[in-house]
Amino acid sequence: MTRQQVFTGQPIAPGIALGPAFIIRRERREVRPQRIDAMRVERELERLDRAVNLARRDLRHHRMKATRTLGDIVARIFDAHLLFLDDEPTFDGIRQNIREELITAPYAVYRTLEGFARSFDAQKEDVFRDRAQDVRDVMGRIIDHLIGSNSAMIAALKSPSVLIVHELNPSDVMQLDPDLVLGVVTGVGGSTSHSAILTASLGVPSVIGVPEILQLIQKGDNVAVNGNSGKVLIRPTPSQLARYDAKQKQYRKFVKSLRNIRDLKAITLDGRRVELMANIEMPHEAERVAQRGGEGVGLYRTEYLVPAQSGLPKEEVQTQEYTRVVEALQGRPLIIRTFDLGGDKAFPGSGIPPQNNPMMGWRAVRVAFERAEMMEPQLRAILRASAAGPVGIMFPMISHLEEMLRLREILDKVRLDLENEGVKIRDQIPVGMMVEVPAVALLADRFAPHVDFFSIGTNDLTQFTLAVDRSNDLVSKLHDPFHPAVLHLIKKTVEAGKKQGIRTALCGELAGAPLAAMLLVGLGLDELSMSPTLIPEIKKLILSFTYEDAKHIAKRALACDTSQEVRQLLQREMKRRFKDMPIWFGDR
Amino acid sequence: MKSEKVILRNKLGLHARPASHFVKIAARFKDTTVELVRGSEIVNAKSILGVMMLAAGQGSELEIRVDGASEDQCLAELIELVEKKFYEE
Repeated sequence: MTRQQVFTGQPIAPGIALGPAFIIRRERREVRPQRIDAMRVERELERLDRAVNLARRDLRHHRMKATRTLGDIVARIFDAHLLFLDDEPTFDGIRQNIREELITAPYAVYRTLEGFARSFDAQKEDVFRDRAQDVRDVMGRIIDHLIGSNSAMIAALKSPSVLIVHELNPSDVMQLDPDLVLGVVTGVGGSTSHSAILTASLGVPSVIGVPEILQLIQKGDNVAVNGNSGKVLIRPTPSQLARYDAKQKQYRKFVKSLRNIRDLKAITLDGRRVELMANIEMPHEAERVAQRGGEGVGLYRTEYLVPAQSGLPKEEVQTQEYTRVVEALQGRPLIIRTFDLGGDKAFPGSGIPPQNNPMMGWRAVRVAFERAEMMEPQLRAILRASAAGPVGIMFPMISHLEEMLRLREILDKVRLDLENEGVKIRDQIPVGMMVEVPAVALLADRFAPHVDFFSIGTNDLTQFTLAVDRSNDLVSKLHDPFHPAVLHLIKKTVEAGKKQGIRTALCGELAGAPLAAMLLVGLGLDELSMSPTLIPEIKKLILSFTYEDAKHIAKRALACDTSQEVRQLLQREMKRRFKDMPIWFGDR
Repeated sequence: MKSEKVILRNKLGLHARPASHFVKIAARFKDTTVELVRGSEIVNAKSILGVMMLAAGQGSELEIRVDGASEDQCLAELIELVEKKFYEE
C-alpha cells in the first residue's frame, strides 16, 4: 500500500496544499474517570441514549453510502459496527455502572468498550484480534457524540501539516493553530453541514467527504489537496508533485494580487455597488473579516454558544461574547442571527428532543417562542451589545407573518425593559428575517413592510423548494441552488425588497460560489455574505464585470428550464470572461 | 436449566456474522437466560461482544446453557444453527 492514490471529494475552501499528513483517528482514546452527582444520573443516561442513537444514525448513513459507492464488502464493516451498537446486555451493563458507581457516560462507555477492545487485542487469530479496532471505532463514535472533540490529538500537532480527520468539531477549530494547518481533508461530507462550514472557516485549502482516506492513509504519507477541484492525492508521484507545486505557485501569485484589492469596495465596472459581508461561526473569526476585505458580518451564527453539555448560556455570557465580536469588528456592522437550534445538528444542551424530520421540525424561533429562557436572554444580550457598535438582529426560519409580528412585539418589550433598567442601547438596530421558506419568498411583499432587511438563506430555501433533505446522501445530489425555481424565488424576494426600499442580502453558500457571482449581482442582490475566505475571489470578479452584463446573464438563467442549463450557461460565460484567473468555476 | 456441548464446524467459527446470527436467536427468548461457555469463560449469549470475545474459531468446543421458560425451544434452535454451520456455505 505505498502507491499513490487519488480521491475526489467536495472542495469547500480554495487553494492548493502540499505537505505531510497529520492523521486524527478515533481509536485509542483515553477518557478519565469522573464522578457525577446522584441527581444527574437520569440526565447522564439520557445523554448516553442520545449519543448511541446518533452514532447509529451515522453508521446507517455510512453504510447506505458505502453500499452504493464502495460495494458490499465495505458496507459490511459498518454492519458489524451497527451490531455492536445493538448489544443490549453490554449497554445495560454500562447503564448500570452509571447508576451504581455514579460515573459519567463517556467514562462508563470507555471503560466497558476499551475492556472489550483489550481482550480482542490479546487474541491470537486475526479475525478476532482485528475486532479491537471495530470496537474502538464504535466507542469513538459514541464518545464523540458525548464529548464532541478530538482535542487531545489536535494538541499533538506541532509542525505544518495537512490535517486528515473524520470530522472537525467546533472545539477543535478553536484549538487549532491556523499556522500549522496547511490544508484539511475530512471523511464526512455534506458541504452545507455544520462541520463543513467550520472546516472552511479555517481558511486553508479543504476538501470534505473522502471517507476512504482515513483507512488508506498512513503516518508519514505526503498529501496534495486541491481545494479548487476537490482532488486529494496521497503519496503523489514526483511528476504529480511537480504539477501541484506549479499550480500552487500560480495560485499564490493570484492570491497575492487579491491582497491588493482588499480595501476596495466591490463595485462593478459600471458602478453598481454590492456589499460583501462575512458569515462567521466563532468570535475569533471576526478578526479575519477585515483581513479578507469584508465590510462587516452579514451572518453571525450563535449556535456554538449552546454546548453539548451545559444548557443555554446566560445573558451575561452572551452579552460579553457579542460585545467581543462587535469590538473586534471596529465599527463594521454585525448582524446577529438568533439561535437556529434543532435543525441539522443535535444540541443536547438545548433540550430539543430528537425528531424524525428536524429540518421541518421544532427549531429556531419555533422553539424560542415556547421557551422564554431561550428567547429573552439572547435578545437582551444583543441589545446590550449594541452599545459597543452597530448591531442588527436577524430571525431564522420564519414561515408565518404572525411570527414576525410577534417577534417585533417581544423585541419592543425587551428594549423597553432594558431602557427602564437604565441600560444604554443603540437607537437604530435593524431587524431582519431570513428568507428560507418558499412561502416567505412568494409573499415577500407582505413581509417587507415589517422588516428592515431580508437575508436569503439559499441552503434551506433550496432544501424546502426542492423537497430534498440535504443531509441525506441518497438524495443530496438533487439539492441544487441553481434550480430555476430557487432563482425565481430569489428574484421575487429582491423585487419585494426594492419596492419597499429595504435591502436584500444572500447569506447561503451560493453567495461564495464564483460560478454564481454574475448571476447573483444580476438578480439585484444588495449584499452577499459568505465565509470570509471566499470574499477576495468574489470581490475580484465583481470588480471585473458590468451590472448590465450580469443582469443579462441573470435574465437568461431565469429563462432556463433546468439546473443543468443554468450551470452550463454560467460555466460557459464565467470561463470565457475570466479565463486568466485561476478561479474554479465548478460546483461547490 | 439445560445445557449441551457443541463443536463449531463452520470455517470461521464465531466471528462477526455467525455470532450475530447466534445472538439474534438467543435474544428472541426474553424469558430465558442463555450463556456460552468455553473453557473457564462464561459469557452472556445475547451480547455479540461477549460471544465474540470467546474467540471461538473452527473446531472449538462450546457449551450452551439455557435457563428459563422457553429453554427447550431456545436450545434446539441454537443447536440447529451450529449444526447447519450458521448457513455460511
